[in-house]
Order: sequence, then C-alpha cells, then structure tokens
Amino acid sequence: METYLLETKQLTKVYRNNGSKVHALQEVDLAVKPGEMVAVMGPSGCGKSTLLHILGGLDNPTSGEVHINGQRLDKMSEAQRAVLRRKQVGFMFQAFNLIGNLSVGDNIELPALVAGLSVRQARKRRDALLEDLGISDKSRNIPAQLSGGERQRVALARALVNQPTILLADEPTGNLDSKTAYEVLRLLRQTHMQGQTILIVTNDPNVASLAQRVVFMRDGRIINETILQERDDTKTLLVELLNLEGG
Amino acid sequence: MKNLFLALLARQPTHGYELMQMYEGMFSTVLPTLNAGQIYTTLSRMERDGLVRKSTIVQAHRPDKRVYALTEKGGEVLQAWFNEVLTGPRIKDNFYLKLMGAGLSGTVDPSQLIKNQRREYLQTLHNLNTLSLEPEMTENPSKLVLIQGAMLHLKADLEWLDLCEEMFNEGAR
Repeated sequence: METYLLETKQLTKVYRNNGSKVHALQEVDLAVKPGEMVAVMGPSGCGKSTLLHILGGLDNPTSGEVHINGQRLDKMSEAQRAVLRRKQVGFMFQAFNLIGNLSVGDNIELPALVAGLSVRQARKRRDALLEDLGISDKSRNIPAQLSGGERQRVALARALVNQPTILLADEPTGNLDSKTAYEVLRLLRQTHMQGQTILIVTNDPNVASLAQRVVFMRDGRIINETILQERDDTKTLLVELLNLEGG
Repeated sequence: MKNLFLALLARQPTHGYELMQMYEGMFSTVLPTLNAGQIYTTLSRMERDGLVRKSTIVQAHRPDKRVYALTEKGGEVLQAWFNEVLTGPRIKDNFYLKLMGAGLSGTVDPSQLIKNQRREYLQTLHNLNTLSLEPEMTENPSKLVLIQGAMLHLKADLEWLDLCEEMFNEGAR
C-alpha cells in the first residue's frame, strides 16, 4: 500500500445559508505523496479554498476523513488542531499576512517560538531561511519597507520555519505583477526541489503548471486530474514550439 | 533568415563564418540550426538580388575570405521589414473546428476533447514554465521574454477551453 502524507476520504463540507444548504465540498478523495507538488485548480467558488482551510486545520469538515502524517485531523479537538497547525502545516497566502510592526526576522522567528522551540533554535532556523531565500540583509526591516517579492519571500520563510509536513499555498502569486510572480514561482520550485511537499490552490494556469499533478475542481467536486511529465530535453523545445521564421 | 542576416550586416560587414557564429550565438535555441551550405546559399541569393555586396580578401596562406556588406537596397529592404506592422491577432486555431465537429457528429463527447486538449496545453505550459525557471534565464532576458510570451498565449488558450466547456455544459442542461 502506498503511503500518503496527506489523504482525504469522502471529505464533505456543507454550509447553512438562511436555511438552505450549500455544498462547498462533496465527497472529495485526494491523496498527496511525500515530496509531491500538487495543484488544485478551479474557478472561484469551486471549493478549493475550503479544501485548503480544512487540510490546514483552519476549518472543520462536515463529514469524511482527513489524514495528515498518520493522524486523523477530523477527529481532533480545537486545541489539538492548533498544535498540528503550528508544527505540521505551513501556510502561504495571497496577501502575505505578515505582522506589520514586527521586523522580518521576528516575523519568521515567531511561529517557531510559539511552537515551542528555544530562542537559540528559532534563531538558527530563521538565519538559515533568510540566507536560503536571499534576504539576510532585510532581517531588521519591517514588511512595509520591502517589495512585494521580498514580502512573499518572508511569508515563505515563515511558512517553512517549523519544517512543516506540508506547505499549503493559496493563490501565492495573486495580485503580484508578473515579474514578482515569476520570482515566487522560482522560490516554490526551489522549495519543492529541496524535498518539501507542497499543495497549491490556484486558478492561474501558470502556477498550476508548476506542479507534478493538477487536480481540477468544479462545484465542490474533483472532476479530473492530470499528471505532468518532466521533459529531459528542453533544448529543442522552443524551436519546435515557436516555429519562428527568421523573416 | 534573410532579414536577420540583413540586420546583422547592418552593423558591420562580416564574413560568412562570422555571420554563422553570430546567428548561432543569438538564435540557436529558438530557430532551426543552419549549416554552412544554407548560409552561403542564402547569401549568394541575397547577392544576386542586390541586397549585399561581396568582396574577396586574398590571404597569403589561407583560403580567400569573402566579406559581405549591406547595399543601399539591402538597407531599404531591412527598413521596410521594420516598418511593416504585423496585422491580425496571433491565432491559429484548429481546435475550434474539431470541437464543433464533435458536437455535430454526436459520436464523441466534446467535453472529452476539451479535457484532452487541456492536458496537452498544461503539459506544454509545464515544459515552458520549467525552462523559464532555469538559472541561466536570469542572464538571458531575451530568451526569457520569448518563453513568457508563449506562456501567456497558452494561458489564454486554457482560459478559452474553460469557456468552451461552460458553453457545452450549459447546452447540456
């Protein structure tokens, strides 16, 4: 039997809205292998963000199972889920969600301290991440002094500081200009290459196409999925594709 | 190829081998490779048409060097190429007719065609995306911008498939 890092079985979420029921998720079966990068793609309102929130322990399913690293997330109390969120899950949001009056270094360090690491350990991880993401010189700045791309770097460092089982990213390039978006994609790929398991929800084909597997959602259901192959030889790719004529 | 050669020669007179090297250096990853024969055939055709002038430099212990220079006519042809605006959108769509055909025939589910096509576009987008993120791209912005252009077109193609799917789904209801 294959071991999954993250697995949902018949995951369903129903909201009640003025007496009528809204099925945000319907019997979703999704499994993510260790080290895999998966993209969940679909239009707004298809349930992909609800899925991400439940996988990250931010929301409760109505029925169905969520297994993360061998634990039943759906059976946990709120307190247990809070611990799981801190230690196993890293979040990256469209709006960065950085704390404005804390320095970059403190923003990254804080979740590690909350999760129970010593100051020394937290600092060590912070410095390693700052170095890795090329923002060591920004450690003392506050987020407002950074560019959009730098802020998303900080958000990524913060998401990774507790060495999470899985990194969950919600439209990580939404609202960014194309140059900054490119930078963020580069970081996500780099992070994945280092072995990090990543689940991205997005409606942007560019972001989704970075993954190894794309899962399509419509109306709360998974309707289809496609596996993307790595091409060994990219040398002739452009010549084949573009069919440019030199005039 | 002719116009690119004119552009390269507009900088300075060059001999054939150098021209080939310049071409290779700039376009080897985006245009088909040229062999020496193709280069000289093109150059002699351009000479015949009065676009370039060839002068031969006799070298004592090596084969003679043939240097090509742009003529006035060559300069005009090049300028005309630059002045000419490309008309119409860059659309080449064979999928539309196939999709309509699928709907008409009743023998195949159009939404299956859309799925297959989406898979193909996403795979190509994945290939380009991977290529665009390779470290060498930071030093090669002219190549990167070409890839990004192709990616934007694929993104539009994918969004258009969504519209097609919606249309068929609504028709089915």
